[in-house]
Amino acid sequence: MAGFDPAVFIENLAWMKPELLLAGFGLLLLLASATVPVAIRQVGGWLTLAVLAVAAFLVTAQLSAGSGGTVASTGAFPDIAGNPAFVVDGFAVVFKLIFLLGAAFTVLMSMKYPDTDGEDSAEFLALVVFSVFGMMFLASGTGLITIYIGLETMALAGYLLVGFRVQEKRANEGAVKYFVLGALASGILLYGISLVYGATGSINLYGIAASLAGDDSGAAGFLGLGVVLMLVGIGFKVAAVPFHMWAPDAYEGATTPATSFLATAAKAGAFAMLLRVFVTAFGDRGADWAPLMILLAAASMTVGNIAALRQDNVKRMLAFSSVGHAGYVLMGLIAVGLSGGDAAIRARGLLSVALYLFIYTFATAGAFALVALLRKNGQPGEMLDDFNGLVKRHPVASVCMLLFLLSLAGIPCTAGFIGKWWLFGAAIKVNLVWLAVVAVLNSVVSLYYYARVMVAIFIRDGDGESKIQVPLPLSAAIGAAGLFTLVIGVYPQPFIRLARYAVLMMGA
Amino acid sequence: MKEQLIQYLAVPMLQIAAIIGVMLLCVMYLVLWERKLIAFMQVRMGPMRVGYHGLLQPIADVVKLLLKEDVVPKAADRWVHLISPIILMIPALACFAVIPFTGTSFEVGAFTIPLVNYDVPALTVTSWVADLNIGLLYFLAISSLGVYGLVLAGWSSNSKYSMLGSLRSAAQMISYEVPLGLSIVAILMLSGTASLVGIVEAQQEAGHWWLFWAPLGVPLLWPQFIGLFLYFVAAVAETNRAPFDLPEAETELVAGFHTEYSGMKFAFMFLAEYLNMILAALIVSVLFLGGWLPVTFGIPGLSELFGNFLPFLGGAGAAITGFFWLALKVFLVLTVYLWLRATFPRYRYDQLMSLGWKWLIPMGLAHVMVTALFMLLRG
Amino acid sequence: MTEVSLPLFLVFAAVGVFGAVMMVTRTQPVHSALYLVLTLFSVAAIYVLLHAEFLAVVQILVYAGGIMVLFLFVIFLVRPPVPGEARWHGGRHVLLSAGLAVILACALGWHFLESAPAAAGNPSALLEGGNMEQVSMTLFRYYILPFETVSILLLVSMIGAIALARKGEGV
Repeated sequence: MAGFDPAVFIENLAWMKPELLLAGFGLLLLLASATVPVAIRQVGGWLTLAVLAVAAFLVTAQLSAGSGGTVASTGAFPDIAGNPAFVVDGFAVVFKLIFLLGAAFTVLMSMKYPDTDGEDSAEFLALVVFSVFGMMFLASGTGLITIYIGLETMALAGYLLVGFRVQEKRANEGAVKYFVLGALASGILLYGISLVYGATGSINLYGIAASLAGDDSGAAGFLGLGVVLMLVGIGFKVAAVPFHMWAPDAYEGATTPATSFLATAAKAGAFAMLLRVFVTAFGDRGADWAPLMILLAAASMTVGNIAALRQDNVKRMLAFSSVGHAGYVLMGLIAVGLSGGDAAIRARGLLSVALYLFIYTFATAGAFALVALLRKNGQPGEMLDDFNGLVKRHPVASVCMLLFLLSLAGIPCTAGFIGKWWLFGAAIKVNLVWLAVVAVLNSVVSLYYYARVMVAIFIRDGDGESKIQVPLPLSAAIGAAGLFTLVIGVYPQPFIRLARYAVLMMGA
Repeated sequence: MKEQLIQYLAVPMLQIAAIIGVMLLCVMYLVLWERKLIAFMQVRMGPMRVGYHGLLQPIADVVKLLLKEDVVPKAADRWVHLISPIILMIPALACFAVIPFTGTSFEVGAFTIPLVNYDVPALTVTSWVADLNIGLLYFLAISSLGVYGLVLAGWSSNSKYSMLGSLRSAAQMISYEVPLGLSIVAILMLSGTASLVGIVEAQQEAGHWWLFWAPLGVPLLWPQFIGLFLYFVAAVAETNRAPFDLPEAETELVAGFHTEYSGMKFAFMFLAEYLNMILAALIVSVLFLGGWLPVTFGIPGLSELFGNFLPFLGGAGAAITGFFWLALKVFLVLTVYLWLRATFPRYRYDQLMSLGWKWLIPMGLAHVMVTALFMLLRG
Repeated sequence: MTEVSLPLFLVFAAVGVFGAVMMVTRTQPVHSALYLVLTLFSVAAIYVLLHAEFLAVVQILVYAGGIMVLFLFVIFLVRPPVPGEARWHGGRHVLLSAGLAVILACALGWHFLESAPAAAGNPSALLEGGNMEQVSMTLFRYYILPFETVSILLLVSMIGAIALARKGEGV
C-alpha cells in the first residue's frame, strides 16, 4: 500500500488556500498576543478584518479559476475509493463567503467596544478565526470525518465565545447549556454517522450516495435510524425546534459580537453541513427525509415566532426569531428533497437557501450591532426599554434598525422580502402550499414583535440622554449592513447571481 | 491440537511463572542493594544482622510482611481498598510479557514427562512470552493503568494524607506520560517497528545501539542521548521515585497513598513500585542500550567478540550470554536510579509540574523533530 | 471467527455488558467509573479478537489510561465521598433508555438478518504485516486531512481552557 506522498499532499493543499490562511493567521495572532500584547489590542481587529478580506478574495478566486468564469469543481484528498474528502465548488464558495461576512461583522462589532469584556483580545479574535476555519470544512468537506471535525472546531470555538465573560453568571449558564447540549448533539450525530457507515460501507458522502444508488432494497430501517440521528444532531446545531433549547440562553449570555457570530456564521455553517450531507449523500432518497424536515420547519417557525412574542430582552427575542428563520430556511432544503430529479426546482431550493442566508446575515448582524451600540457603562443595552427614544439619540442608527427589522419580517422593498419570496416560492413549487401559508402567517406574527422594537425606538420617550458616540468600526458595521439590506431589497439581481453559484454542488 | 495446546498454553504459563518468580527474587535483592548502596553513600553499613552482610535480610522482610496484621480503616471503602494493591500489581507484572530477555531461542527436543508418561513434542522456547507487533504501545498502555492503583488506594483509605498523595500521583503520572511517550517516538521512527524484539534486531542491523546513533557520522553527536535523558527522567517520575517521590513524601504526607496499608497489601504496593523500576530499566536497556546485545557491540572489532561466552552450549550459550548482558545493563540503570535517590533532594510540587510541562514536553517535541530531520537528511 | 474466539467473545461481551449495567446502577460515582473501565477493557479485548490490536491498545491507552483517570480525578475533587447520599433514579430514565435500546436492537438485528454487514473489512489483509502499519498507512494516505485538522480542533480547546482559566483568576 502506498504511503504518504508529500507531492500529492501539497497539490491537494493548493485547494485549501483560504483555510490555510485562516489557520496560519490564527496561530500568528496567538503568538503575537503573547509577545506584543499592546500592539495586538490596537490593531488585531483591523488585521483580522484584512485577513478575512484576503480569505474572501482567495475564495472568490476559486470561483473563477475555471474557464469562462464558471466554477472549477475540484475534489481533493481522495479516499481509498477515490472519493474526495474536500471539494471546491460553487456551493462551497458561496457558503464560505457567508461565513467570512458573518465573521467580519463580528470583528467589527468587537473593536473599540467601550469598556470591553475582552472581546478585543487576541483570544477572542483567534477563536472567531478558528471557528470560521472549522466552518470552511462544513461547506467543503465531503468525508463525514472531515465534516465532523470541522463541526467540532466550529462548535468548540462557539462554546468558548459564549462563555467568554467568566464572571458573568448568564454567560456561564448559556455556555454550559450550549456545551452540554452541543456535546450531546455531537454524540447523537456520531451515532448516526456510524449507523450510516454500517449500512452503506462508506464514510464518504459520494461513497454513501453510490452505495444507495446501487440498491434500494434492505437496510432501510438501519439506514433510516442513522439518517434520523444525523438529522437530530445537525438540528441541534441549526437550532431547529425541538432542538433549540440552548439558543436563547446561549445568545443572551454571550457578548453581543459573539451572539451575532452564533446567529449568522455558525448558523450558516450548520446549514451548509445539512445541505451538503442531505443533498449529496441522501439526495436520491429526498422523498423519505423531506417529511421530517417539513415537521422541523413548521415547528421551528411556529414555536420560534410565538416564543419571541413574549421576550423583553432583545437578544432573547432575536434568538427565538433566529429559530423561526431556521424554519424558513429549511423550506429550501425541503424543496430540494422533493424535487424528484427536477433540476429547476432543485436549483431554486439551493439558490433560495444561499440567498436567504446572505440576507439574514446582513439583517441579523445589523440588529445585533445596534444592541452592541446601546451598551453603556459596562451594562449591556439589550432590554427593550433601552431602545426607548433611540431616534433622538442616534437617528441614522435608528433608521438602520428599522430596515433590519423590516427585512427580518420580510416587508417589501427590503432584502428580507426577496429572500422569503424565493424560499416560499420553492415550497410552492413542490406543492407544499400549506407550508408556505404557515410561513407567511408566521411572518405576520413576527411583525408584531419586531414592531415592538420599532415602537420603542420611534414613539416611546427615552430618558432624554444626549447623542450616542459610535465608534468607527461599529458604525461601519451598521452602515454596511443597512446599505446592503436596502440595496438587495431594490436591486437583488447581483446577489441572486452570486447565490446561483450555490446550485453548483459537485457530483450531486 | 496437542502441540498447539502446549505451544500456546503450557509454554507461556511456564514462562509467566518463571518471570514472576525471578522478578520477585530480583525485587527482594534490589531492595537490599538499595539499602546497601545508600548506606555506602552515607558512610553507613546498612543491614548486617541477617545472614552474611545482611544477605538474608530480604527473606526476613518478606516473612515479616506476611505475618503482619492487615489493618483496614473503619471508614474505608473495603472493596476498593482491597483491589487497589492488586490493580497496582497486575499491570506491573503484565508488562513483562513483551520484554525480550535474550535474543536467541532455546530448542527443546521431544521428551516424556516421567511418572505421567506424557509425551512432549519438540518445541522452540523464546525468551519472551509474546512478541507483539505493538509491543511498545502495549507496554505504554498497560503501564499507564498503574495509576489506578495509586488513585484508588488513596481514595478508598478515606484519609487526607492518602488522598493528597494519590491526587499528586495521578497528576504527576499523567503529566510525565507525555514526555515518556515522546522520547519513545524517536526510537519508533528509527526502528520502524513497535515490537521490542524488532527494536533490538533493528539495532543489531544498524550495527550500534540507538543511543550511539550518529546521523552525521560524527562521534559525540548522538541525538538519542536527549531521548535517553527524557525517558529516564520521565520514568523516574512515573515510578514515583526520588527525586519525584511526592506522592509518598514522608515529611508531608506520612507515606502518601499507602499510609493506610499494612501487611500483604502494603507488600503488594511495595513490590509493584520495584517491579516498575525494573521494568523501566529493562525498557531503557532494550530501547537505547541494545537489549541483549553485548556492551561492546558497535565497537569495531569487538562487536561479535562477547556474543557467546559458552560456545560449547551452542544456541543456549548465546541465549545465556544475551541474558547476562541485558541483566548487566539493567543492573547499571537501576544503580543510577538508587544513586539519584541518595543524592537529589525532593522536588517541590510546582517545580515538578513546571519541569514536566515547560521543559520536558517541549524538549520531547524538539527531540522528535530533530530526529526526523536527521533521518530525512540521511535519506 | 474461529472456534476459540467465539467463546472468548461471549465472555468478554458478557463482561462488557455487566460492567455497563453496573456502571449506570451504582450510586457511588467512583464505583461507576471503575465499572466503566471494566467495560472499556472488555471492548479492547473484543478488538483483539477481531485482530485490531492497535485499536485495542489505543483504547486502553487513551480511554482507560488517560480519560478515565481524569474522570476519577474530577470525581475526587468535586465530590467528597459521602456514602448513601446519591440515589438511583429509576422509573422514567430506565423506561426511556430501555425503549431506545430496544429500538436500536431491532434496527441492528433487522439489518444484520436481512443482509450481511456492508462495512466488513478484509481480516486477512489486516493480519499481514501487523495492523499498526495498516492503520498508519491508511491514516496518512487517505485520512490525512481530518488527521491534520484535528490539531486545530485541539488547539482551539486548549486556547479556550487557558483563556477561561486565566480569566477565572481575575487576570
